[in-house]
Amino acid sequence: MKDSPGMHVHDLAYRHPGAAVGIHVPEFELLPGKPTALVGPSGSGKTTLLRLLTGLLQPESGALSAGELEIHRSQPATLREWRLQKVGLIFQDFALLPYLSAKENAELPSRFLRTLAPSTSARATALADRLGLTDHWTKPASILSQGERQRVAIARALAHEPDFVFADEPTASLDPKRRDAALDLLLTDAVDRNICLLVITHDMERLDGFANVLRMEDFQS
Amino acid sequence: MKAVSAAFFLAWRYVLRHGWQSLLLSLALGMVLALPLAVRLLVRAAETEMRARALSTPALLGRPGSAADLLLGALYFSQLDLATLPFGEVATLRETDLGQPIPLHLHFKAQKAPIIGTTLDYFDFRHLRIAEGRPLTRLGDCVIGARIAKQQGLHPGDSLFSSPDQLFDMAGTYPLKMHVRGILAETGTPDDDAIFVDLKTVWVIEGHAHGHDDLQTAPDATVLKREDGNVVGNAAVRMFQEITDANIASFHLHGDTAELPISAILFAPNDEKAATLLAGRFVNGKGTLQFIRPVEELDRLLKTLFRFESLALGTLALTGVAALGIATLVFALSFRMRRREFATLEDIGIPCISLTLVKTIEILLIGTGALILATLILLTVQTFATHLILLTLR
Repeated sequence: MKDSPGMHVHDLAYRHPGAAVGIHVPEFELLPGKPTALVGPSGSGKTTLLRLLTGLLQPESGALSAGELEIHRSQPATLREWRLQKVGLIFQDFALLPYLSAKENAELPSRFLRTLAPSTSARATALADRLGLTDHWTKPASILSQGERQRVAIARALAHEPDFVFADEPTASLDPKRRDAALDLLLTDAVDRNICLLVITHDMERLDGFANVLRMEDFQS
Repeated sequence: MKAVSAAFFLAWRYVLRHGWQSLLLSLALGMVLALPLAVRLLVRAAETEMRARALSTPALLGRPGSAADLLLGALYFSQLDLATLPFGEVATLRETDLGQPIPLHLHFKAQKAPIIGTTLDYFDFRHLRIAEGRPLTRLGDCVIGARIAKQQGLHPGDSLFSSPDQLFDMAGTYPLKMHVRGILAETGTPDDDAIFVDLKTVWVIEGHAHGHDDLQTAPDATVLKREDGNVVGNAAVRMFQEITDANIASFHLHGDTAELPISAILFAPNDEKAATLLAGRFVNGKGTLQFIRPVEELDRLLKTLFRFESLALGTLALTGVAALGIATLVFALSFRMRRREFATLEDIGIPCISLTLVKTIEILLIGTGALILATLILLTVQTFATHLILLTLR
């Protein structure tokens, strides 16, 4: 088990240009081994907050740090390096490369991080097994179903063993059985490896699996 | 290094996944690269081929007119409608004792192959060797070039028909069934694509000589009139279209042989002095014959060819610039359409330099494909250049 640093947010503010409502997070901590859910109605700014937390958007004010890294003050190149090395991202639209196979998509961050190690491949394959992707592992992403693509996106976020995992509705396209398996995998991985996990979800039935639940209504200004 | 290998991996997978589009783009660029070089290659090959033939032919005579037509006809058999000169000119030239005149009759074809009426001297002059069968010995025989034999699957003992001048001209020349007696060894010259017959045989095809039923014993229906022991046949007389042992005796020439037509005379002077003396006879250009030195005439022709080459290369260069512009646009549009993909890679944390590398390597892969295809095109052109030139000349 690794000792992952947590993420600390203080007085974070952001408003889309021209938007009436903005985001304001007075204080919040994302702790290792304590999976956190972020819930809220559609259009309330959940994805925007996730993009702020991962450095994909620059806040108007406030402080945001992940261990030693002060995200709100860092250069884009530094943030890219941090995301590549320490962050696993699951996008709402999966964002797979259609010309790569499921396996190659899952191994993509590792490929740019270092020479692809057999252990990374083995971990990716194990994830594929747990996500029920073994039969589709060598197929191009372009021919996979929505559910299969979503599971490949989960495998991609976890394969390189990141310290932070941010998942934007990671089970929205899955049937209940697959949804439970995928969510269990994310939660177990976060607890077992003692890493930070933030999941945006609409699935109120599964909130009991999370250590913390954040409500977007509390972060609107 | 890891960034380069990962970028190469992504670029390679993209190119592979879009194989047909990539291949088409490479092919288009490859052709743009290869075409100007192929034109140069073909022009050089044409120059080499044509010069070799011209150098081996010291002098050429024909009717005054286009020297280029005379050259192309007598040396490369590509111009078969030369103005004719009487066969008697051959005897006149022989009497000069300056060298050996070799008559050529170039008018008829058998399908697409030119029928060359000449004498046996031509085979010695061109160092043509019989590879299969035997030389011309009898009226109606032919020996054929190696390539035409291969193309048409002809062997000694086979036969082929001369093509009539005009298909629907009932009063015109009739096709003659010629017997293949020999196949020439391949020389890589226009002789490989020609059919050689004796001059008398070509005169038979032309109608100056013929064979028909014996009119003395012919039925009255085929006789126009009988007077003083002479019998004049009418159009119903059966003309022979094949020369056989049984009818060869009936073949005869009409008119004075010296007046019968030929197209050109190859002249092999005894020495350079003889060539100069002969040239002197035709220097004012006012006679009934035109004298040319093929190599000099060819050089004049090639100068024109080079002007066309420059023009063609200029046009191809402009086309190339346009094609490169289009290729740039294709790449730019392709990268624009893949903005979401590159944005994803950025979000994951792939460095900008790696993304630039991916794009560069994709362009390089297509460019390498274009270079490989251009090389293949050029190798193919080089391999078949001689054949293409001979086909063009024919």
